[in-house]
Amino acid sequence: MTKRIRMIGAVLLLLLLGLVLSGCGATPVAQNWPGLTVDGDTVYAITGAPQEVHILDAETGAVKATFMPQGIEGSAAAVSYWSPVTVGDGLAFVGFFQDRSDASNGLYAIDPETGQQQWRVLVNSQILSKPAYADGVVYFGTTDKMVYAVDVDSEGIVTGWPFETDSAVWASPLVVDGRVYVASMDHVLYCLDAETGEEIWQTELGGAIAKQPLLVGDILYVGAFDGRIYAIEADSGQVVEGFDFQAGNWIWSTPLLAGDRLFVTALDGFLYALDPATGDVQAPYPYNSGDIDGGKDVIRANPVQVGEKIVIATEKGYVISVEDAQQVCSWPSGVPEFAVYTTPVVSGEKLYVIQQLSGQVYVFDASALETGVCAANLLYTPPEGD
Amino acid sequence: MGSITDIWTVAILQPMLNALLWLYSVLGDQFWLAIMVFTVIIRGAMTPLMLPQQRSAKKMQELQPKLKELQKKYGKDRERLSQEQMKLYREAGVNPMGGCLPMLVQFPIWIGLYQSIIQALGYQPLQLVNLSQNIYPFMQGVWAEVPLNRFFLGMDLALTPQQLGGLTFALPVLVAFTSWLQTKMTTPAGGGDSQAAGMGQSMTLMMPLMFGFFSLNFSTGLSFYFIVSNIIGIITQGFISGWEGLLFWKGLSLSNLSGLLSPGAKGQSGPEKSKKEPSPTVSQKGSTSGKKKRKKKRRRKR
Repeated sequence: MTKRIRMIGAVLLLLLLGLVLSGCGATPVAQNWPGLTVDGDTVYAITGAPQEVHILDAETGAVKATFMPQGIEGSAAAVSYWSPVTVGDGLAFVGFFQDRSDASNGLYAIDPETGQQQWRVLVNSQILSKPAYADGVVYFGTTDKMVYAVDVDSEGIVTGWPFETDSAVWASPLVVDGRVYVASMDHVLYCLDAETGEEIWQTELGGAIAKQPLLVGDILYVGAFDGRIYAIEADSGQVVEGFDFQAGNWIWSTPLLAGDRLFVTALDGFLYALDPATGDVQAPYPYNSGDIDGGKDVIRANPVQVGEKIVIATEKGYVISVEDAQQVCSWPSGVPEFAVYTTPVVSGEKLYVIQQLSGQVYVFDASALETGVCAANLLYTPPEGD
Repeated sequence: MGSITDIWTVAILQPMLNALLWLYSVLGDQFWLAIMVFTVIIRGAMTPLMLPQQRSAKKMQELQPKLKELQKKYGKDRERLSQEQMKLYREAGVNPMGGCLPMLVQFPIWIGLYQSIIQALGYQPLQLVNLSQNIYPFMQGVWAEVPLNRFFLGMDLALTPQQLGGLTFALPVLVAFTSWLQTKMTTPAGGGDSQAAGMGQSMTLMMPLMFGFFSLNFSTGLSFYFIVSNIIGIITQGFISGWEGLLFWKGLSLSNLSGLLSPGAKGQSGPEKSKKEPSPTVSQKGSTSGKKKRKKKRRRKR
């Protein structure tokens, strides 16, 4: 009898071990960073558990409305992917994807006041980056390699579109003067005709491109996973010779032109200031965000300009105001609890930040940031899931 | 806690991940190939640990008649039986727990490999941010390879059979089968110590089931590791203790299987039994079976 019990115990122990290890090693919940968009007096935060679009009053943080596609039951266990919200034509546009819900995946147009769905275009792939709105058309890339253009009036895909690249499109399209610049994970920067979707030129770079380029005059600046910033002629797609810069890790952000310097953040945790003509790092930069606590940090978010200061947000959760490669001030005063991967948004006299795991939205006073006071007020805490 | 994670990352995850990435870059951007070559390397590196275990398994098989003899002799006196068994093991230079160390060493490797596969084949933003932090600075050449080609015959190596469905469910079955074959070759056939024999037979069945269950829930890339690793284990064991264990269909019947499943079977059924021991009657004459074997050996020598 004892032997039998021991045997059953051993078998149960093995099964338990299997279950525990399976639980520990199960495929991690795939995540994107939470979306944050500010338009006038409205904040659109993709947050909560399960994630939803929370439409907030930018001043008070009061919830005006929330949006979840019809037919999707809120479930904290379900993994959903949202793009950040884009506003245009009196509507708010957002991409939604949830595993095994083919009938609901796509681009949604919602009423910015009520959060009511107006229409949708079904696309069974993830839209990870913010759609771009221009002249009555919404452009967005998907993880199934496509770039779509959706006409707001007809609520359908524009003739000639979608355009297919060779890999996932994680970057927001940049629409300027009838051209759509699309960066793809296939290492290629594409220039498309905004009306017809036809390719005008394409330029292959040295690494995957996950972020939108910056257009300055007739030069496009774009960062890639080979750690380089490329300067490309917008007309021809030719890489500008003589511009050379490489960071210590991948570049996953859009550069910022402030004054006569090009500011670049990289996953090595540094903020660089470059000469836009040569790519040379301008002294006294770079600034190492890891210096704040003597460790190593990562910067995924774009740098933003607040007055004379450059503000960066880091993986450790710091929001740092920088001037001349020196920290002017940083937030929070204690050890941060949550990462900030989403680019902070400057709107009027405010700077908005959303944290990765808590999904909390904080607001900074821009003028205070300039004077060296990095103090934030909690604007919104999403309700906890069931 | 943070420091334990850091030690794990630096000591296990990063070396494995970078080795995989390097193999990927030199093997024509084929991740499945990188996993297979990596498995061969890992098994090669673990040979000094695995060989004693495999040799020990062979010795254990050879000791079965003597163990039975002891069982018969001291069956009612558990303490004495245990002492005599330990003495026998000591004299034969066998460590009955010798299989535990390689098993324990393999666990961190499985977990590290699993994490490496998931990171290397990351296809979501946060996964790639993590990947960027774990590539060695001197491996900058790999940056240009990201995102990696994670497909093999149209199968996404980063996803689980449950997520992929269809024919990918064959992978857990293959993992369980190869694992069963390997365990069967290394587990002593039903013998003297009925409890140990029962345990051995349960292990023969439970371990493969457990690995099959793992494979069902883990990325298919890890199944490749398990299958290749098991095949190498089978081949190595075959060279050490012979290939009889591969003839799994001999003596296999539903009644044998149910015997394996039943804890009360005490090792009196199963394919090894009918194969290794010519007849139950002979095996029960434990006192003579050892002599017979030695006689046979002497005859062969002549």
